[in-house]
Amino acid sequence: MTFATRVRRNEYRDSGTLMSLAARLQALPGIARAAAIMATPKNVELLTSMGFASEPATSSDLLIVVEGASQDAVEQALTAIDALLERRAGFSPSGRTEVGPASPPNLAVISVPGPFAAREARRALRAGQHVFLFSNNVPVVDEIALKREARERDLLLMGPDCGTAILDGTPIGFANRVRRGAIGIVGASGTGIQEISTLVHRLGHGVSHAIGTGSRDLSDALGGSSTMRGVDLLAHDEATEVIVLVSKPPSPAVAQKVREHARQTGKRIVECFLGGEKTLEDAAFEACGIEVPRRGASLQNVVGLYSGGTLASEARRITKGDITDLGEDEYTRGRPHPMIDPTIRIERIAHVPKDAVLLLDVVLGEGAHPDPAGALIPALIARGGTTYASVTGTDEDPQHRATQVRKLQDAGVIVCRSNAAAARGDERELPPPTAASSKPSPPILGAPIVAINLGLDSFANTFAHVIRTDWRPPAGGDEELARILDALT
Amino acid sequence: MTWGERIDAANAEAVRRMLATRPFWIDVQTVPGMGAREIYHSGPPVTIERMSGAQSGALLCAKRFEGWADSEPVELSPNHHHRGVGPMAGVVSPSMPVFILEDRTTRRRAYAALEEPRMNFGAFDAAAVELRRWWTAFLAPALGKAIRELGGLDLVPLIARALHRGDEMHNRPAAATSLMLVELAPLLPREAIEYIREDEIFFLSLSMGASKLMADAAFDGEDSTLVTAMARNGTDFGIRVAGTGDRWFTAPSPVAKGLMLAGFTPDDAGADMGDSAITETVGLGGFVLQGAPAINEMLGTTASEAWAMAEEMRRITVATHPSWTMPALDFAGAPLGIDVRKVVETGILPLIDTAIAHKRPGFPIIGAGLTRPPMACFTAALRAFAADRGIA
Repeated sequence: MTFATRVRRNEYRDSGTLMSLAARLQALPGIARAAAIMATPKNVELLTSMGFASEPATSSDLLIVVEGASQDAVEQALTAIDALLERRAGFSPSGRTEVGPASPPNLAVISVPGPFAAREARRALRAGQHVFLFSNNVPVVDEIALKREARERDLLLMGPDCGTAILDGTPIGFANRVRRGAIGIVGASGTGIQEISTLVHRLGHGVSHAIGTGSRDLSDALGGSSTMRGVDLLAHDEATEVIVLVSKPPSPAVAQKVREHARQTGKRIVECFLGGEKTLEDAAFEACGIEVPRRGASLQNVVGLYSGGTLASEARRITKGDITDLGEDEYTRGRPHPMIDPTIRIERIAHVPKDAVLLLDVVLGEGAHPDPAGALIPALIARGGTTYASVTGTDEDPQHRATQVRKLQDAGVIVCRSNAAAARGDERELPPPTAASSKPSPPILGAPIVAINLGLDSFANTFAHVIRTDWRPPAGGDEELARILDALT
Repeated sequence: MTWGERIDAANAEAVRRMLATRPFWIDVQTVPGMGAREIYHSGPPVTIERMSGAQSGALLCAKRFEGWADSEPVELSPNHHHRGVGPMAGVVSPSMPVFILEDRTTRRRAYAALEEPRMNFGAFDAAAVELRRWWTAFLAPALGKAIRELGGLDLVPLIARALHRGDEMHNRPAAATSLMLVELAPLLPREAIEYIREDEIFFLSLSMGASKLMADAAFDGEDSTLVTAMARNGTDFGIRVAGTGDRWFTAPSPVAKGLMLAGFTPDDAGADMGDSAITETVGLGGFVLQGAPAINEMLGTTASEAWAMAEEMRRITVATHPSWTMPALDFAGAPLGIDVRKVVETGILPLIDTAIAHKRPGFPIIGAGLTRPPMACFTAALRAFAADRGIA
């Protein structure tokens, strides 16, 4: 038999705790006896009288002695002390009230105000989480730093200013319910992803994953960092057979780099860098391997009131008309986005001249208004005149596309199959859906998504496993103090 | 190494040194080296003109105790500038004995002034002066003799045992007073035993002194953002932070809310006062309220409210005390090491449970309750910490 002793200086434990510790040490393999005492003279005397070894200690020290068959066994037992004494605190010390799944989150969904967004994203990345960063108004320098950090940590950063993603069939942010399938999308444009993914669905095909990158990703400053990462993820995804790249007009140099990177995946690439002739609809057809419809002429004398930025710019390019993107910062300051709150569009519709052709986008999906068509109809009826619209969505969306289309048609609106078709006044339907097969797709992030949601609470609703947080701005919303905290954390 | 990493490392080292402190009460004597017309007081520095009513009353009592004229000019400075602490007004004069404590690890010393319900709260009548005279002539020498004979009293384990007996060590050190008395009784005259037996809060001086020695262990933590003192003089609330050394960051002291003793209303309450928030600085008092439910009536709160407020302290601290545990929390340790960064970030202010003095001089204790420091102390400290280092 051999002894090992350990003195923990200046540490007090209740006698009950020490008895329990001794009992648990005694239960370890190869241990015959164990004692744990506060080393008062009396306790030490008792210990030695029981034949235990001791070592010099004072009454404010905790003395632990184990006796066992081998030196290895007793030393091994002593290493367990910390774990045996560890106590759990009642609340999470993380600073967030967390209620949710036991497995740690692997995706942070961040929609906090811009000035505080970068710090939350940085924290998430440092905690090993992929990030969906919805917040806008994040300075470019912060975006560059965040994307560098994401690269170094081999994590996916979608955003900032990323509105839409679909991972493992889960819509994230403003996104639609679409069938799963073989078409992967990487996009620097939220409504671009929504238009393509819903058209793919309505053509009978499906989406493996749609990865948002943030609106600036294909600029020279960012160099397509998140796009490349998204392409890599889809390259390794077994279900993905086609990769669609969608963006507002990119930097030519970055576009070239991304193009070459995508080609190396060996998968079929559909490029839809807006600014050229190709529309979002064209990209969806091409991705599905369906012949692109012949283009008609554009509508004339158009006034467009849009909620989707990319849809607005597509309509502007086709019609050369007066197209306003009401989702721009100047219209959303201090009020919700027009996809959520139709008020500003309703106000504007009344002022569109009677002889002009009104052109609208109606965007459905998670995050959007529960009944956008219903909300707009009274204003449309009151105005009269001619209105063309497209409805970006599917019948699986909460708003149910067919219902929304019918409401608009009943109000006299000409509803076209896509945004591009509406801009051209092209009333031809989509071809009937073709059945497309798809392979099962393993989790894109390597494990099933467990999200942690910071910001807009509704963004938590689409996840099967999500931790909701009661996010509050740091330092009571004082941006200067928040910057100091960032520098010191 | 980022600033964040440097600070985290400095904070961990500061906690290590706080926990390595072994505060012993070793003696009772006057403050060594105190000048003949010096007066020490609680809180950050204050002038006669800005001094609160209760502290002015205590100052007057001290002058009468010393036999000085009421108008005698004195030289004021905070206890904290002399490695000391005092409850409430915290007024200490040259002839007034205080508890002497020593860290057995480093041999650093600290003092703590006597806790009592009269002069400390601003009373200066004959009874208040007489209590101090009796303390000086009888109780202090008796306690000094006893503690020297005992060879000192080891305070961290004693506090640990008292926490298991329902104390929080600031407004309720009742079990600690008993445990102390058990050690000392054989060495004390009967009159001393009877006084302490009737004064359940007597141990507060010692829990403050032990806390002061621990907090001072973190004092020169170069890049640490941990709070090393929270102190109030009834006019200002001040904090000190390890990484900004001996600077005070002050703001007007708040008024505690809680239970008023018979005959007094919340309107009578003076602003928060005393060095006793040194206990919260090391994770006692308001930080361990969950373990002291008997105090809730006096603080004007309920067990569940106190529990929720005290649990929040884990969000502004960096460690837990291994020995100071709460059985009701499955023996979770006291939250230790208030990080200024976390306070500013979360907006959660340290919870302090405290006694209440009158806003005018001449009254004994009038109540007890809960309070929190002004956020301005913490934001100013954080800004200064960053500015000193050329950050942001």
